[in-house]
Amino acid sequence: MPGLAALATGAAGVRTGAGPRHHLGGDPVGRRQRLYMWLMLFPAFFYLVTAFGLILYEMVTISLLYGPPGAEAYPSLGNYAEMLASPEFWAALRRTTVFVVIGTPLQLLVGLGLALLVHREFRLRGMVRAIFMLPIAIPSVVTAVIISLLFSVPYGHVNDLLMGRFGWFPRLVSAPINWYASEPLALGLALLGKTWRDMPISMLILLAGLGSISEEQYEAARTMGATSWQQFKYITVPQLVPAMASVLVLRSIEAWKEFIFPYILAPSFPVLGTLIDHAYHVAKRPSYAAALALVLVVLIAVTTGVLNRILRFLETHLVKA
Amino acid sequence: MKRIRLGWALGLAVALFMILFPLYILFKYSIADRASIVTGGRYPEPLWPFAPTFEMYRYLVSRGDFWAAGVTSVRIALYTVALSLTLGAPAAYALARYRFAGYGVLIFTLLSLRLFPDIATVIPVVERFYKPPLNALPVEVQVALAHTLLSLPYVIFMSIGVFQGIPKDLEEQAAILGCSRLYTFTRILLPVAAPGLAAGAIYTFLLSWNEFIFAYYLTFTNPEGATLPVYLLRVMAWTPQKNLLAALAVVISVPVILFSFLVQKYMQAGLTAGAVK
Amino acid sequence: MSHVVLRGVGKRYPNSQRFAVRNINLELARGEFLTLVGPSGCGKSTTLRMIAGLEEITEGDLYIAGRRANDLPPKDRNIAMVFQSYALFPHMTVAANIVFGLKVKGVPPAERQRKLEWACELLDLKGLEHRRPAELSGGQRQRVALGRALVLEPEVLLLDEPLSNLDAKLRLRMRTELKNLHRKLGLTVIYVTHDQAEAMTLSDRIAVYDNGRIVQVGTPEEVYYDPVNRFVAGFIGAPPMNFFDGWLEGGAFVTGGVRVPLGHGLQPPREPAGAVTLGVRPEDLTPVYEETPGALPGRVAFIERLGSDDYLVVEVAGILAQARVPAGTRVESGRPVWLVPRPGRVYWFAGDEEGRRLR
Ligand SMILES: Nc1ncnc2c1ncn2[C@@H]1O[C@H](COP(=O)(O)OP(=O)(O)OP(=O)(O)O)[C@@H](O)[C@H]1O
Ligand SMILES: [Mg+2]
Repeated sequence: MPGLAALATGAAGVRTGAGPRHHLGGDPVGRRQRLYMWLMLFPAFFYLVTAFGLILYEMVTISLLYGPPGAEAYPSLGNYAEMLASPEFWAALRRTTVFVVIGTPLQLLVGLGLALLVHREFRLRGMVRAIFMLPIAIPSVVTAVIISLLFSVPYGHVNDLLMGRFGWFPRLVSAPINWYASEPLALGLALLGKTWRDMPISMLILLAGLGSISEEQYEAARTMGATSWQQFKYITVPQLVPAMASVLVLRSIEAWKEFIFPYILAPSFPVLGTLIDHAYHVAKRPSYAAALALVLVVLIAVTTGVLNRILRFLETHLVKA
Repeated sequence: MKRIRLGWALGLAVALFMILFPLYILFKYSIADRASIVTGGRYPEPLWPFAPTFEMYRYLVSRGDFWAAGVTSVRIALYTVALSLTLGAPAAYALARYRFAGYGVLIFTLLSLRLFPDIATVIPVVERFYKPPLNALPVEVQVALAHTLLSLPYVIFMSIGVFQGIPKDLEEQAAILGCSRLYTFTRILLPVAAPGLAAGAIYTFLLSWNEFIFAYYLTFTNPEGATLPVYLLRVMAWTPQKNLLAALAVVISVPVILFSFLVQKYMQAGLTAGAVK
Repeated sequence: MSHVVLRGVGKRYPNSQRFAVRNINLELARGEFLTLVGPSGCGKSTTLRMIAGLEEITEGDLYIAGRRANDLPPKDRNIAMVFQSYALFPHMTVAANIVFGLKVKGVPPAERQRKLEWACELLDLKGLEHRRPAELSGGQRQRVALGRALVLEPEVLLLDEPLSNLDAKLRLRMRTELKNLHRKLGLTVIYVTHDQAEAMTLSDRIAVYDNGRIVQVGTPEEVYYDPVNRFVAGFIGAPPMNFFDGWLEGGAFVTGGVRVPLGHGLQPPREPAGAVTLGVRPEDLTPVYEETPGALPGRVAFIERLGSDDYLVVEVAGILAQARVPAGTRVESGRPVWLVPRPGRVYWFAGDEEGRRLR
C-alpha cells in the first residue's frame, strides 16, 4: 500500500491550461460556499469518523469484558492483567519489536537501492520501473505462497541448493533445513516476504525525493570536481533526508501492523498480529483479542509519535550542520 | 565512470533477478507435472518441469467454488471502487478548493487512520457485523464497506491533486452560464477529472482484490463469501500440493499484474508532476 | 436609469484585513463599452467578479438593468463572462461548449442549433464545431469563449483580460474584431485590461484604478488630455509622460538644481503652488538647439528608434526625458538641447504623495 507521503506528492493530475487565478492551497471561503463545502465533505468524513469512532469504542468496551462467556464481568481490566502476566504476550511483543527494528531500515536500504537504480535515464527505464512495481501488485497471500514454495521442507529449491543437489553449487548442509521450526529462520522468511512485496513503496517515495533534486545541482558540483560518491554524499543524501524520514515512519507503522506473512510463514512464533488472530479464532476470546488489538494500536501511535520527533530533530540538526 | 556503470548494471541485474525469479518459480510450479514436484529427494526439483502441463488450471476452472470466489472478488472490488469514489471525490474536491478552519484536522484524521492495524480494527468490525442490524447486509457488501474504510483515505489524497489541477475558471464559467453546483460537479468537474480519478479507482480495485484480513474474518463462518485470497488460503490449508497452489496464485495475480501496468502510467505521470511542483 | 450601476461598492476578502476595492461608483449606459484599467493587483478583476456574482459584495449596491443584483446568483444576472484562460470545457466539442449555457437554461435543440450557426458565422468558427478545445489555436479558443458568451444574449458582457494570452499580432486583430462585434451587436461591455493602449482604442469610457480605488472615469480623450492626478497621467499613454520634480520660485521652475525661467509654453498653474511635479508628454516636447525661454535644458543621451516614430532621449537635470522626433532624425549624443513644451499641454501636479493635478 503506497505510503501517504508518496501519494500526497505524487498523485496524478490533469492539467488544462491553469488560469492565473488558480490558488493551489484553496480559497478562503465565503459564507455561501460554506454549506456546500461541508455537504461535499460530510459523506466521506462521516463514514470514516463514525466507523473509526465506533471501532475504537468497541475495541475499548469489548476489551473490558472478562470472564467465561455469558458471565463476563464489566468493566474489568482482567484481560489486561492476564496479558501482562502472559509470557506469550511478551514473547510476541519482543518478536514484533525485532521485526520492526530490523525490517524498517532494511526496507529503506532496499528501496534506496532500487530508486537509485532506476533514477538515471536509460533505455527501457519505463519497462524496468514497471517490473520493479510488480511485487506490490501481487496479493500478500500469493507472495507468502511463493516463499513457502521456494523454502519448502524437506524438498524445495532452497534446500535442494544448500544440500548440493544441483551439482553446480557446493553442499553446505547435510540435512534439509526446517525453516519453520526455527524462530529466527521463520521470522526471517516473514521479513523476506514483507520486504520483497513492499519494496516498490519505499522506492516510489525515494524516487519522488530524488526527482526533486535538480540536475543543475549535480552539474554545478561536477564543475567543481566532485566525484560521484561525493555528489551522492553531499547532494543526494542530505536532500533525500525528508523522503527517507517518511519511508522510515511509514514503513515502521506497516511493520508493527504486519500480520499475513508471520501468520502464514511463522505460525509457531506469533507476533502481536498473529496473537490477536489466535485469541479470536482459536481461543475464541474476542475480548482478549480486543485488548491485544488496543495495546497494539497504542504501541503504534506512541512509537510513531516518538519516531517522528526523533526524525524531525535529526532532520533539523543534521541538515543545518 | 566505467566502474560505476558496471556496478549499476550489476545492481540492475541482481534487482531484476530478485523480482522476476520468484515470479518465474511460481509460474513454473503452476505448470509442473507430478514427477517435478514429488521427488522423494532422489533428484532436485527441476527449474523447468519435465512435462509441463496445464492440468491444474483445467482442474481449477472445473471447480464451482473457484468461480464463486472469483465472482465474489470482482463484485467486492467493484462495490468498493464505487463506494470509495462516490464518497471520496466530493470530499477531495472540497479539500482541494477551499481553505478553512479545520482543514488541518481533517487531513490529520485521514493520515492517522493509517495508524490502526487492520488486524486490530477487524475485531470490532466483525463483532459489529455479526450483530443486527448490520448482519442483515450481504457479506459482499460487508466486505466492501470494510475495504472502503481502507481505500477512502487514499482515494481522497490521490484526488485532491487531481482537482487542484483543474482551473477554477471552469467552475466559475459554468456558474455564470447557469449551472447549479451539483450540475457543475457532475457534468464539468467529474468528466475533466476522470482520467486522474481513474488512478484512484484502479488503486482501490487492487487494494480490495488483494486484501486478506477483512475478507478472511468476515467470511470466516461463511465459506460462500470467500474472496480469491481467502480461497487460496483455504486451499493451502486443505492441500500442500504445490502445483495446484501455484496455479491458483497465478490466476489471482495475472489480472492485477496487467492492471498494475496501467497504474504504472499514472504513477509515473504523478511522480513527474510532484517533481515539478 | 443606467444599465449597470455600482454605488459605493467595496470588497474585503474573508481572509484579509483590508478592502481589495472600495467606494466604486460607476454608471454604464446601455450599449456602452467601459474599460477598467490599472496596474496589477489594483482590483479590476475583483470589481468585475462582483458584477458577475463570483464574489460577494461586501458593501454598496449593484444594479443591473434596473434590478438590485447584490444577492442574485450569477446565472440570474443576465451577464456573460469571458475569462483570461478562456475556461473552455476541455471534454466538450466547440459546438457543445458554445451551446452549453443554452442547454443548461433549457433552450430547445432547434433554437440552440440556430444560435450555434449564428455564432460560428459571426466568429468565423465554421468547420471547427466538432473539434475539442485542445485542437484549437489560441485565437480560435478565444473566439469560442466569446461565442459561448454571446449566444446567451447577455445584458452585459464581462471580459477579464481576454486578449492577454494571445501573441502581439493576434491581439491586435482580436482587438479590432471585438470593436466590430461591439458595434454590430450594441452590447454593454465591461472590459478589464492592464494594457492602456487596449483601453484607449476600444473604449467609450475608461475607469482608471489605483490601489483599490477608481481615480478617474472618462472618455479616452479625457483621461489622456485631462488627467486628474499624476498617477493617471503616468499610467495612460505610451511612452509615458515625462515628469520633473521641483518647485516654483520667482518666475522660474527649479528642478534638480536647474532653473527654468517660465514663459512661452511653460505657464504656471493658476493655483498657488510650491513643490510641484511638471508633466509633459513626449509628443509635446520639441527639441531645439539654442537656448530658449520656457524650455528645459539638457544633453542628448541617445535616440530610441521605434520605426514610425523616433524618441530623442535627453538628460534633463539628472533624469532621462523623451521627446518625439521625426523618424530618421540624427543627432550626436552629448549635444546640448532645449526641450520646448507645447503650449496648453503642460501639466502640473502637487509635489506630494497624492500628486493632485494643479490647474
Ligand atoms: N481570493 C482572494 N483572496 C484574498 N485577496 C484577494 C483575492 N483575490 C484578489 N485578492 C487581492 O485583491 C486585490 C485586487 O486583486 P484583483 O485580482 O482584483 O487585481 P487585478 O486588478 O485584477 O490585477 P491583475 O491585473 O494582476 O489581474 C489584490 O491585492 C489581491 O491580492
Ligand atoms: Mg485580474
